[in-house]
Amino acid sequence: MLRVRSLDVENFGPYYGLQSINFGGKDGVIVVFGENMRGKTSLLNAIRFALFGKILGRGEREIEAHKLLNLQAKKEGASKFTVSLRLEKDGTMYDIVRSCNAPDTDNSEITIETVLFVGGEPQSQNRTAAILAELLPEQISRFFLFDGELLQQYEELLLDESEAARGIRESIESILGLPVLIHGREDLATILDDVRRAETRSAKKHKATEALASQLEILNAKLLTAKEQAKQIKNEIAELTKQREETEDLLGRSAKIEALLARRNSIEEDIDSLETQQEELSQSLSKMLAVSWHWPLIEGLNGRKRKLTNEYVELRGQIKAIERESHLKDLRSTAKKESKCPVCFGVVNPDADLEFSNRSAIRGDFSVLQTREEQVLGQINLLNQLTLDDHGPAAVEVSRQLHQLKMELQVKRTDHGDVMAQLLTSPTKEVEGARQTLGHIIAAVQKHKATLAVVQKEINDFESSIATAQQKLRATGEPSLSLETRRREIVEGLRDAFARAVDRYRDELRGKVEADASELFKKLTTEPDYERLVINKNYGLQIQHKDGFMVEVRSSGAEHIVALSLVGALQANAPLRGPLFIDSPFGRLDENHVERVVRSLPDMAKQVVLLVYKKEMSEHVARDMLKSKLLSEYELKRISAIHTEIERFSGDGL
Amino acid sequence: MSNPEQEMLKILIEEVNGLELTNPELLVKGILEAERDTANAEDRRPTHRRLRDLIDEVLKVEMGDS
Amino acid sequence: MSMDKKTIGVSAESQHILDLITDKTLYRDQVDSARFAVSLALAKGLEPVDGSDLYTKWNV
Repeated sequence: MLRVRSLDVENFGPYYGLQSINFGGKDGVIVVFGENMRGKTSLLNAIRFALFGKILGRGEREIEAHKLLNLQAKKEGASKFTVSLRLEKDGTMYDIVRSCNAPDTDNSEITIETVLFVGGEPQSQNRTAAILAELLPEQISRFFLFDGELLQQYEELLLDESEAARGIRESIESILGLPVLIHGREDLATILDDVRRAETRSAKKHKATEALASQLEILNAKLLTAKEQAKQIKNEIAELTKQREETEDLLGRSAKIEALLARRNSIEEDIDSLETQQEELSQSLSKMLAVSWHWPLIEGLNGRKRKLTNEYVELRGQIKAIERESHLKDLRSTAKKESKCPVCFGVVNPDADLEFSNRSAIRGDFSVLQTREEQVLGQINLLNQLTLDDHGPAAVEVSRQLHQLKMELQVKRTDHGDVMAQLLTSPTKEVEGARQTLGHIIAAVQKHKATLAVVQKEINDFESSIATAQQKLRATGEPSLSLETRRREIVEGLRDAFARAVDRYRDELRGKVEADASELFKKLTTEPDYERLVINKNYGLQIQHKDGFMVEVRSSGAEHIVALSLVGALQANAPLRGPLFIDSPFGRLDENHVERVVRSLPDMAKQVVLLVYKKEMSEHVARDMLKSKLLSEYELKRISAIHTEIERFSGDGL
Repeated sequence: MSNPEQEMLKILIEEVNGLELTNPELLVKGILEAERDTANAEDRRPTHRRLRDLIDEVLKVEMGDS
Repeated sequence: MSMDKKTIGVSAESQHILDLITDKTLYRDQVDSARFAVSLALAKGLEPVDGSDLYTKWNV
């Protein structure tokens, strides 16, 4: 079992100075929390750099190592970063120290140095490369350093004809140990050619078998030529396939460029629309704010207005009363003078005692009241002019909408930045002519395959003829041949046994991977109607519904679950057991699925390191689901945009 | 030996059954070990030598020392 | 009513606060945010402070 014991990074990526993580030697799970751009992927890259001298960027593209020099350190004049990785395998410690030195911007000065200690003993450069290749072969590293953001590569497995699928299938079969059988078959086939020639040479020495031997000699020579020809054609096909992959990759990027441009345009339209809305809302809010000084006073002023209105009503009443009284007095006075009522013209007794009040006094009160009424009315009109409407709640709502728009704009601008960055690194000019080239390559491959089929048939015919001649040779019973013949029979038998074993082992393994992946899938999924996973020859996994049909369209959440099931199943069936580093494993999974995945982690591998951000999985989920299996928790703390520190905040269960 | 390795061995022993070897397990184990040791080697000649030596050991036992 | 004000003055500290409010909100003009500040003070019944360190900002 391969186990990661510790990782030290110095001035690497966002890690300024020396930062360390101790993974310990126990089975269990370690969680590293880090928000976006804090350095989770850089940790995976640190391990890749230590093991393979490589650093991968988005889409698995290799990045020049010197670009990972920490910017804070670079500002201070540093030119070197170092990664130290300690591994343990079957009780032996392997310490890899790899550093990259880029003294100035001239790329030719960049040097990468590697030192390996095995059990404390330094190793030579030649031995170092060989030991590291055996410790964790790069081809299978993707199943130990699992990047949740590269899920689409697992979707490729479902596409039988895709070259990417072939590549991943080879990786999977590599991790499952199949190459041992394939190499065995090929080595034994090579030995068989020699052994046959030896048998033929021996047969030529005896008169009874001379003719047969000559026939065999000719057949063997033809067989060898045909095999050489087949080998050459296969090499050419491989070379053309590689060119095809590169061309398809380029065209894929062209399609990607078109998609990126379309996306850029769409984002820019969205930004325009949001900015227009933002401007309109800002203007609306500014207008409301221009009269916002009303709001604190509205209640008070409205109260004052009510009071003034009441006063006005009272004054009016009083004034009216006085006017009425005054009018009545006038009428009484006229009635007394004319001895008749001015209203009804009835006769009035001149001696009647009519009320007569002091007009000037009434007038004095009256003018005070009138003056006051004028004042009150004036104040009321002033207050009316203020149009005291309470736009406060509306302004708050507009402000909230503006904030929301600001957030949306921020997201859109970030997306825009991402898209532009991708566009700027895209080789738009190289795409020209790629389609034509692809056509030529495909035609050439088809032609080679047809020729190969013909040559293969010739090989089969020669093998058949050789077998017949060998049977005849054996039938002669020549005793001196028996050793050579027996040797040839054994080697032939071994070659055929290995050939059959390749197919059997592959089928059995595929069956086991399917069974283990299905079992894990059932633990991870919350959908009870999903019966199991079904595997294809590329180890692509389809979900089978309990009613028997395959689930054709899968959400990215389902894709995550299937990919995790495959990784877990491969770990269970691989001769090489190793640690499982998972970067952003949860993606778009809901909380239920996250809990199930976390609970199942100890089943997927003995040593698991989870790199997550807190919104993806909160601390309590890990603690509740894993309990004693949670060994420790780390956090990638932001000191600045170019300085992250690794801090352990819990656990010493190492 | 891991489970996958045991499985591989089991399949091979079954497949070489028809060769009537005295100790097929020893031979097959030896071949597998040689292949694992040289899995990444580009030059296959040392591997071929090891395999031939294993087969010659089997022949010595079968046919007696000459 | 006593004399209507013809000038509005601010202290250095008040100016700093006006700068902050106008920066963080959408008050187009500092006179609007100043009006708001005055009406809020009135509504809360705050006592006017000593105006000796004021400098005239607006003529109204």
